[in-house]
Amino acid sequence: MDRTETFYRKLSLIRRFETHLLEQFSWGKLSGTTHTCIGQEANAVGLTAHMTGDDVVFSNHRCHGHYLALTDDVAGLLAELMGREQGVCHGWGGSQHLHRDGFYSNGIQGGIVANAVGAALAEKTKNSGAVTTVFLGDGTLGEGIVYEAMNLAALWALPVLFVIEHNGYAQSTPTAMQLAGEVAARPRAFGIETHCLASNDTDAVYAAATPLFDGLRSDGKPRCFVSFTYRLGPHSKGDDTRDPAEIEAKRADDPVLSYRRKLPEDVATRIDAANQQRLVEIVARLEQSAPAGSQHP
Amino acid sequence: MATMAQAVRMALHYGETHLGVTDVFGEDVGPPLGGVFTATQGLKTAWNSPLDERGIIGTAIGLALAGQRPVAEIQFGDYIFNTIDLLKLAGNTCWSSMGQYNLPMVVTTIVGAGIHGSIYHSHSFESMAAHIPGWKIVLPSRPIDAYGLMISALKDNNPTLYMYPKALIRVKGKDLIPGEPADERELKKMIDAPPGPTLYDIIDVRSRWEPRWPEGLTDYQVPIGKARIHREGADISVITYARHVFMAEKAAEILKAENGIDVEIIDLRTLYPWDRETVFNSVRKTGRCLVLNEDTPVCNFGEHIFRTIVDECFYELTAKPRVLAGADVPGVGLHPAYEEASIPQVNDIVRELRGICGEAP
Repeated sequence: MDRTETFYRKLSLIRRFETHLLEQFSWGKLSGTTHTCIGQEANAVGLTAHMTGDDVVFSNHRCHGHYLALTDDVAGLLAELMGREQGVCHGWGGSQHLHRDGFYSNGIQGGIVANAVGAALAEKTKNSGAVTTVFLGDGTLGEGIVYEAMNLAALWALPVLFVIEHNGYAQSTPTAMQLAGEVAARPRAFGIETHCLASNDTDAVYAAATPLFDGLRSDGKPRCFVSFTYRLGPHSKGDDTRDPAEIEAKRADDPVLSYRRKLPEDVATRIDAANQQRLVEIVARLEQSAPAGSQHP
Repeated sequence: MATMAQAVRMALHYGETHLGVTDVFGEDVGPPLGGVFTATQGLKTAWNSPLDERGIIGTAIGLALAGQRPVAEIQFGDYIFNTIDLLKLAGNTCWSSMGQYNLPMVVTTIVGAGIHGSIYHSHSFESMAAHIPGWKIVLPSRPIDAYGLMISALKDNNPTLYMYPKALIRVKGKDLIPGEPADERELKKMIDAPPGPTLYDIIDVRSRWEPRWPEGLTDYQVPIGKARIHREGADISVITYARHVFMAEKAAEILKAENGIDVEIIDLRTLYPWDRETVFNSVRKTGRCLVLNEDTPVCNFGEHIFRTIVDECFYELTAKPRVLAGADVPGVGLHPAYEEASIPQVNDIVRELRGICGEAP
């Protein structure tokens, strides 16, 4: 399968997965909370494509895309969200607390950024050559520990890639109401090489990240990637307070639909159908394996 | 009757119109959302901060030092942990300035399990909070107490940590708050922002919406430091607060029906300074007690109450008192079964009450 097909398979899978989740919540079949990445899939796919087996990822509350793009573990993630034994962490933590093979997520804003510094220090000490990527949002830039972590990563020359997925909103609050100055100026103030990209095209993300990963793997110093993107879905579920016209305008730049056009229609249709079939089978398997009474995992 | 969210909102409105409150702020506190649980919807003085808990508490301290009466919200109690150095500072400011600088600030946060929110939407904070001297700490279980304690907190010159239980935030009260319209549908029409016809219409509808506040709201106060007897009984006292007041009530009904045991329930309402007199009087009357809450068990706030009861009422006890708290686990799991296993349930309370009453004196 060529790269375009691989990328589209992942994009389409993430989108289907996230859409399925929101439906399940609206039908009352899932409980608790979740944060989908609908509209931000390009970063997940384009960046994880650079990662190798030893690399480490720290993600946040909006972590499903990152996790699926990296691990392809649909069944484990869905079961986790259902609080089931078959889940990534046996259903204890749910959506925001995934731990598996060097992938860690936590919903507390900012805290994970410093965790990534520690993980990168460990990899550097081991001389493993691994890159530690930490995903944060523009909202997280309100937290002071982000800058403490950037300082440490730069000071100790650690191979950390800070990825700022700038979707314009901190929960319901627009960025203009919560951030002063330029986003890219913040990592640069610590001497961290920073690249900005305003594109929802996975190929563009992949290309922009190539020199960053090359640099990280050669000199081991931290880098920052600022991606201007947009969240097409709600922050969590049922809590969208943005102007509907604004969201509608952004749909023209839907990363999944746009990327689909790069493929011949029959190929794209085949990939969509395969993803759909896979998701349906996993959902059915999980439903069948629900324990008697179904209130217990 | 008003829900707790509506009660808090009305009290804050009274505060911004009568008590000099000029800033109610925090993450998603201002329009259009008006708080994740809508407790700050429609307030004139509510505004959104960045996602910056230390900035929020730090700013509140500065405003209070300047003589204002800020209300700062931490969106979930689970997010307050990274502010603990500033909470310590707020607690000691009056003392370290030899009483020259008060901090008339209120920090609100929602605590406890009950919404299947998993690890970061289910934590309790009261035991941690009680370790930070200098704060008054309240945790109401009923909307009317939520209103009255908020008014007291807004008037108090000390920092007050105002917690409220997630599990009860949308539960309607049984008592009319002074000034609240008798028809709850009318109240809803007056002060609840309308949802849009679809999910994405909310901003359009709300940008044109303004609340109509009930005109007769008063400065009805529930004094900080005063517990209430939720249910009178002769045989055993349950010392509790928040959601477990109502869980204890269910357990009490079972014990009455099945064992003829008459349970008294004390709703502390204030955790610091807590109402020793009401607790001791109850325990002296019944001779037995269960201290009940959902926080983790090691250095649990209830252990302090337990120890004080043993110190003060030892010779009047007819059975060994017990503490029933949450499980000794680092988080509350996602699945309802995990949550139920982590938090004392009605059956657990019944079992403990029967156990205490079954002990020979």
